[in-house]
Amino acid sequence: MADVKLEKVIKRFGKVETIHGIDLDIKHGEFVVFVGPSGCGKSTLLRMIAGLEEVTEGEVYIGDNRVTNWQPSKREIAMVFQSYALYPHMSVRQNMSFGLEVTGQPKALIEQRVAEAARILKLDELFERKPKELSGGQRQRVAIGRTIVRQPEIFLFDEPLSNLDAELRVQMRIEISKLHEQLGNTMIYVTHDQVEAMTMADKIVVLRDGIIEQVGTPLELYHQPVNKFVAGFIGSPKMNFLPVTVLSANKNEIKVILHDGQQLSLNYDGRTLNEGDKLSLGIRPEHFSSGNSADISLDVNIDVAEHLGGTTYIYSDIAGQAVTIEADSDVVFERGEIKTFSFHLSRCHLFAADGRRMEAIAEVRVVEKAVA
Amino acid sequence: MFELRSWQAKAGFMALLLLIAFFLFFPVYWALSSAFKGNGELYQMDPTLFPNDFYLGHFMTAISEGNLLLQLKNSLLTSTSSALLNAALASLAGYSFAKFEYPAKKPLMLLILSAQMFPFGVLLISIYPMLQAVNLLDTKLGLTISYIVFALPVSTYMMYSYFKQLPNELIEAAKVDGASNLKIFYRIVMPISFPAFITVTLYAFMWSWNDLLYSMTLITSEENRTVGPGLLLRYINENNSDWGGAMAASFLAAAPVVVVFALLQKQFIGGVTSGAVK
Repeated sequence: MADVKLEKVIKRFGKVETIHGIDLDIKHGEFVVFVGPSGCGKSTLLRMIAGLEEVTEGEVYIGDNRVTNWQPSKREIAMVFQSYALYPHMSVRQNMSFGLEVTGQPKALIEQRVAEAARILKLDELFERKPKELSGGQRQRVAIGRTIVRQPEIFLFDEPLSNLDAELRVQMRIEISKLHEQLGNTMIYVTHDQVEAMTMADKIVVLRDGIIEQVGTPLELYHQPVNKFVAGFIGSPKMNFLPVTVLSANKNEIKVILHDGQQLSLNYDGRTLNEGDKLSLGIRPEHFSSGNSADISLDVNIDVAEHLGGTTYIYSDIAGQAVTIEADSDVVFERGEIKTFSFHLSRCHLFAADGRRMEAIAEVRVVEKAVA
Repeated sequence: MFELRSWQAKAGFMALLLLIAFFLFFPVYWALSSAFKGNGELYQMDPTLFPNDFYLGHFMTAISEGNLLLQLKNSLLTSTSSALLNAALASLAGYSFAKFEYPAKKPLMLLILSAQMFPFGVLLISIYPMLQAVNLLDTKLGLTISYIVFALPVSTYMMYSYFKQLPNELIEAAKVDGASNLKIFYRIVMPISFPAFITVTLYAFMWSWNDLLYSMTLITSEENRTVGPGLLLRYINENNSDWGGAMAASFLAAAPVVVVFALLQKQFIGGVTSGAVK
C-alpha cells in the first residue's frame, strides 16, 4: 500500500524558508494534484517526496516506512520531469530499460516490462529512435514509459505537459488519466494549470507561498473555496470579486451595499463585522446571465468581447475591479456597448476582508433588492 | 556580430584576413617546401618558392640518423597518457565541482585554478625536487605527471563549465532510476560529454607535444628524450648546417598532432562551442 504522508515538512534554502510545515495525507491509488502559482513550493514538495530535495524538518512516510532520508531509488517511486529528462545518447528502448538494468533485473524481465509499457503507450515503432528524433508528445510518452517499466508504487509528475502545445496537452492529459485508471497506482502531479488539476485530480492540493491553502476534490474547491485565493485560482476564467460595504451586521444577517447603491441582505453570521467593513462578493463568469432575470443585475460597459464561437467572454471594469462574464454565444457584443447582466445570490460567495470565505448560515439567502 | 555593407569594406576585410593567413601559413609552407628541396636548391642565393624536384633525402636522413623515431615514440607515449589521464581526472573533478555540494567547494576550486596563475617555469621549480624525491627524474612517468600538473587546472575548469550547463534533471532522472553516482557519471554524464572530453584531451595533448621546457629540464637521457628537445639539440646549434633535415624532422614531429586534430576536429569544435548555444 503506497500511502504518502507528510508530517510538518519544512524546507529551507539557506535562511529562506520556502515550505512552512506542511501536513498532508495521500491515500493509495489517489490521483493528487499540487497546484499553485509559480514559486508556491509545489515542485519543491514533490521533489521532497521523491528524495531529490532534502527535508529540512519534518518527516515523509511512504507506506509504513519513514523515508525522509532515503535515497530516491529506495522509495519505490518513479518520476516524470518537465523537460522529460530522456537520456539523449540512448534509444527509446535503452531509455526505458535503463532503470531496470542498473538495478540488476534479469534480461527477460526487462524485455517483458519494456514491451508491456510500449504496448500501453504505443511506442513499439519508435524503439530504436533517439530522443532528438521524437516529437514532444512522443518524448513525453517515452518519459512516462520509463516510469511504467519500473512498476513503482508511486508516480510523480513535475509539470509534465507544460512543454507541449495546447492540443497535445489535452491528449496527454487524457492518456495520463487513463493510465491512472489502468494501473491504479498513487499518482502525484504538479501543475500550475488549474484546468489540468480540475480534469485529472481525485484530490487537489492548492498551495501558496509554501503553505497549503486547501485540500479537496475538484468540485469541493470549485463550490466551497476556503478563501479568495482558492476561489480565484480554481475555475477558468477566474472568479470575479465585486467590492461591497457593510451597512449593518448581526448574528443572522449582514446588510451590504454594492458599488452602484444596490443593497443586499444576506443571511450570514455578521457578529465579527462592523459598519463600513469592506467585503468581496465572488461570482464566477459562467454564473452570469443576460438581462435582469436573476437576483442582482449589473450594467456592464463592455471593454472587450471575445467571441470564441461556442461561448463569448466579455471583459469590463466594475468599481475598479476587472470583471469577466461568460455570455451567450449567439449575441454579438460590441466594444463600448452597455449591457445588463444578472446573477443569482445563491451562486455567490462572500469573502471577509482577510480573504476568508464566510459560511452562510442557511442554504437559501434572503435577498432584499433596494436601490439607495 | 557586424556586417560589412560596401564592397570596399568587404574587400578591405578580406585583404586583412589574407595578410593574417599569410603570416600564419607562410612559415609552415616555407618549412615544408624547404624539406623537399635538395641542398643545392636550398642554399642557392635566389630562393625558390616551390621545390624544383621533390627530394625526399632530408626525410630519410632525419629518420635514419639520430633518434627521431624513438623521440616520437616517447612524445606519443607521454603526451597521450598525460592527455587521457588529465581528461579523466579533470572530468571527475569538474563533475564534482559542477554537480555536488560540499564544504569549501569554491575555495578548493580557486586553489586548483590558482596553480594556473604561476608561469609554468615557476611550477617546474617545485615539480623538479618533488620528482627527484620520488626518483622520477628522467623518467617518462615523471614527465607525464608534470604535464598533468600543468594541464589539469584549466582542463578541470573547462569540464566544470561544460557540466554546469548539463541539466540537473538528467542526473536526477538517473538517480530516481536507481543508478549510483558512479554509474550516473559513466553511463549518462560522460557519453553526452564526449565533445568536452575530446576538447580537453586535445588541449592537454597539444600542450605536452609542444613542450620544450619541462622535457629539457626533467629528461636527461637520450632514451627518454621527447621530440621537442630532440629537434632542438640536434638541429639548433652553431654547427648545424642541415636545414633541410631540420625542416623535414619538424614536419614529421608536427604530423601526429595534425592527424589527431584532423580526426577529432568535429568534436573539438563541438566542445568549444557546446556551452554557447543550448
